[in-house]
Formats: sequence, C-alpha cells, structure tokens
Amino acid sequence: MTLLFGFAPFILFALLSRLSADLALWLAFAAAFVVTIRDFVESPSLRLLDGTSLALFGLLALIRGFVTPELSLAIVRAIVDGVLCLAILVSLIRGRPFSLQYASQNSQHHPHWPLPAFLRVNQRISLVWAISFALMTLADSAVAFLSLPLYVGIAVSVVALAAAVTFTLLYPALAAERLAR
Amino acid sequence: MTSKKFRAPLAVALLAAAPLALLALPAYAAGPKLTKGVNNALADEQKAYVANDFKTAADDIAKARAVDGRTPEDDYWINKIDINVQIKTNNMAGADQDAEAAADSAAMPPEDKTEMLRLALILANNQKHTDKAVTYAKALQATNPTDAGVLSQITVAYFNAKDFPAAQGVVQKQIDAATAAGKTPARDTLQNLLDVQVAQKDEAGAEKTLEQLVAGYNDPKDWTQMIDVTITSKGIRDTDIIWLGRLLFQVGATASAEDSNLFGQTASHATFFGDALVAQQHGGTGFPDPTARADADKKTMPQQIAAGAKQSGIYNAKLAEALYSYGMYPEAEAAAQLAISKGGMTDPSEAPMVLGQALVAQGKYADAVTAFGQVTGGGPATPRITRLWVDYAKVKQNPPAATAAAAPAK
Repeated sequence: MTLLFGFAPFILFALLSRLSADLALWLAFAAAFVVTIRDFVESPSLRLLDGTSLALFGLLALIRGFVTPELSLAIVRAIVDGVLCLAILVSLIRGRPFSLQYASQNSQHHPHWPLPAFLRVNQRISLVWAISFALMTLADSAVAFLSLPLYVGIAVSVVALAAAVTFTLLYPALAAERLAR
Repeated sequence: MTSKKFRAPLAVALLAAAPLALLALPAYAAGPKLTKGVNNALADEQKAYVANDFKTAADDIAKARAVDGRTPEDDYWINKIDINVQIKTNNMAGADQDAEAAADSAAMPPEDKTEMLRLALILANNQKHTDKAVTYAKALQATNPTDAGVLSQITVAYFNAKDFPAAQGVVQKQIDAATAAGKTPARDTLQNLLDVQVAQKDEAGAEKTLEQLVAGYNDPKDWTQMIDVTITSKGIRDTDIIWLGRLLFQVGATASAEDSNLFGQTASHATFFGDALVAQQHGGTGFPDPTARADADKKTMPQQIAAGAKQSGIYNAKLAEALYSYGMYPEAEAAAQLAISKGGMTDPSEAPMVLGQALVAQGKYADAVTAFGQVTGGGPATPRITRLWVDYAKVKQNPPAATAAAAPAK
C-alpha cells in the first residue's frame, strides 16, 4: 500500500492531464514534493521513485511552462511513462527492485535482508510495474507519433495501471500464503 | 529527416521490450529458492534480530537447521545469517564455525564471495584456525583487495602460519602503493611489517621500519622502542646516550627504569647535572642526587654565559649543553651558535647537535632541521641519533593525520 502512495504523483498527473497538462504537471510536482518530504522524515534516504517523480515532474513543469509550451500532452505523457519505466528498469538491473524501498524500515536493518523469497516477490512486483509503464509509453508514443486517438493511450494507461495496482495488492499475500502452506 | 522520424518510435519500442529482456539478466535471478520451512524460520529470525531478541533469533536458526530435506543453499543461508547472531551473543567460535561453513559452501553465490571470505578470514584469525585462515587469505588475495583492513587480516593469516615472506609481500605491496601515491604508509601496515621483520630476525629491516614509524606517526611508544634499540648501537658514546635521553624525554615517551637509570648515570658521570636531574625526576636511580650541584651550577650560568665571548668554541659547546639541560633553551641556542662561529672543536657534532636540540625545544623545527644538517663527526651512533632528532623535528613540523585503525599482526 505504501508503494502505491509512491505512485501518487503519477496517478494525480494521469487523472488531471486531460484537464490541463500544466496544472497536472505542477500538481504532480507538488505531490511528489510532499511524498518525498514525508518519506524523508520517515527514513533519511531518498527513494528512487520519489526522487525520480520529483525531478521529472519539476523539470517537465518548468520546460512546458517556460521553454517549449507547444509540447503536446501525448508527448508529455510518453516522457513521464518512459522515464518512470527506465527508473524501474534501472532498479531491477541493479538487483534492488524499487519496491524493496517500501518494505518495513525495521526489517531493512537486518544485515542479510532481504531473504531470496522476499526479493523475488519484489522483483516480480517491480517487473509488472516496468511492463505496465512500458505499455503506457508505447501507447502514448503511438498517440504522439502515429496520430492514434488519445483515448487509446488513456485506455491502455487505465488498464495497465489497474493491472499493476491489482498485482501489487494481491501478489504479496498470495506469495506469503504459498510459503505458509 | 526520415531517420529522425523513426528515432523516437524506435527508442520507445526498445524501452517497451526492455522489461522482457530483463528476465534474461543475471541480476534478475533472485538467488536460490529456499525450502519453505527454512525460509519461514529465517524470516522469523530477521524479525527477532532487528528487535534485538537474539535468544529468539538463535531459536529460529535452530528451527531452520531442524528442517528436513535442506538443500546446500538452505545451509548456506542459515550459516550466513547465524554468523551475526553468534557475534551478537559473543560466541566467536560459533560465528567462526558458521563463517567457515558458509565460505566453504559450493552454494555460495559469486556476489557474496568477497564479503564471506573476509568474514571467514577475520573469524578464522580470531580463532587461530591457521590453515583455514591461510586458505581464505589466498582466495581473497586472488581478488586483488585494496582495503587496508582486509590486507591486514591477510598479513595476520600468513604471520600466524609463519609464512613470513608471504606476509611481508602483502605488507610491502601496501607500503609501495602508499609511497607511490606520495602518502605515509598506514601505521598498522608499518607495525605489521615490523612484526614480520622481528619474527624473521631481520634487525636492520626492523630498525628501518621502526624509524619510519616514529617519523610518520610520532607515537611515544614507538619512540621508546626506537630509543631502546638505538641505545644498544655499537660504539655509542656517553654524549650520544645523553642526546638520546633528551630525545626520549622530549617526545614524551614513558621511560623505563633501566632507561632513566642509564641516562641519569651517564649524565651524572659526564657532570651534566641538569640532565641527571631530569633523569632522576623520571625515576632514574643509581647515581648521586644531582639537585644541589645542579642548583649551584645553574646559579653560575649568567657568569658562564658572560665569559663565553672570550672563551673557545669547546667551552661554548659545553656551556650550550649545560644550558639545555637546565631548560634555558634560548641561551643554549646562542651559546651553540657562538661555539660554531668560534670553531676549533674536538667533537664537531656537539655544537650543531645542541643547537638543533635547543631549537626543537623552542618549537623552531625548520631551523632545527637545518642545524642537524650541519652535524658531522661524532661516534658511530651519532648519525642515527641525529636522524631521529630530525625525524622528530619534521613530524612536529607536519603532524600526522589521524590514522585508520586495523588489527596489527600480533
């Protein structure tokens, strides 16, 4: 659940972007700031997703506001999806899936945390998010470059996001149940 | 234009394919699949451990060990996790047993290798499991470690196994690397080298290393050791002994009773009552109480200084010695300068040596180094004693930075 809170800026952006891309970017930036500060108070280290969201939405808000206001919504969405996808991929390649950072702070103090099973669960969750963002990038890029209707992008985003959220909520319990059996 | 048009979609397509390609990467392989019972017991251990409940953590480890059908991966993880529990409960033998089992396990993943070998080496050294320690030391050496702590432990392993050439090889490599980088070798590295040289009865090498230690780190304990070694130099003169005693007291080292006795007796015999008094204050015995004679002599110093201008270089050199012994350093400096300018010395080392000593005592280290550079002649031990005074002046001029701590070889 805490992990989903990390996606709050993106979800806010996705919901508001149809209304106004600028408003969505600035509000997502504000949300990323609040989430980062809140998490930073909890543990004095910057989570990958928080840091990426903060930088990404801040930069995009500035670029679209002052440098290239003509940047289309589809391109902005594709950039956001793509950058978040890349960030998640990097965490996976480094062998420390981003979702691990949302596990209980207390358990992280163990010298040999996480156990392989826990790491595997997090790798799968992170991979699902990476696939989800890759699909969103693909769909929003198709809207931007191949002139597909915007609702295609939105529909893919909704389905991909819903799938990732559902997987995040259900899979850990399922994995724990399997281990307990 | 056409290529630009395709660049963005191509990048997007690559990004979309990346998550699937990732499945093939080794980083995605989340390690072994532990047996359910082992995994659950270890998960419980992790909760107990972070709550500092090591008794429960140990019970959980025991539960994991009791699981039937354990795989080598299970045992590796159990041992790896148990090391910390054993350390927390101060059971170093148990920790060593776990670490050795983990380091010897074929199930050890490559990414754990360096850290596990390091742990096993430290614990095997701690438990004096010499053969095992050497095995880990060799395996670690093959990874070309640069960490000073690891290198120190490798040296300890070879040292304990009495493979002194191998130990010296590791230490020398560290010293060479530090020297090439223009740095003073770490204190513990030099200490390890010294221990190895002493064990090999390489006296010349050990003395050289000891000198490097005092010059680099100005530790009073090293100075005591260095002075004790120097005092046994062949052909050492009474004057040399007195100069060594002054250095011993100057560096703030703790003088042994033997040292204080020797310095006091030598100074008393040479009628350097001020030096004899200092030796007495440091516990020296075995010579007449110099207090009264030192007091009487000190009272005559103004007259002796006044007479200096009309006297010879030898007179002024002896006067400088006396002034130094009474702590009258500026006056000793002036007398020594006068002695040098007058010349005609029977011992050309004396005046510049006392001049250097007086300058050191006044904190004029750069001038002192120059003065010591003028020392010629003297006895066979004089150049070495002069070098020690120079080392001290230099180390006072550029005090060493705080040194990293690592276990010495002994």
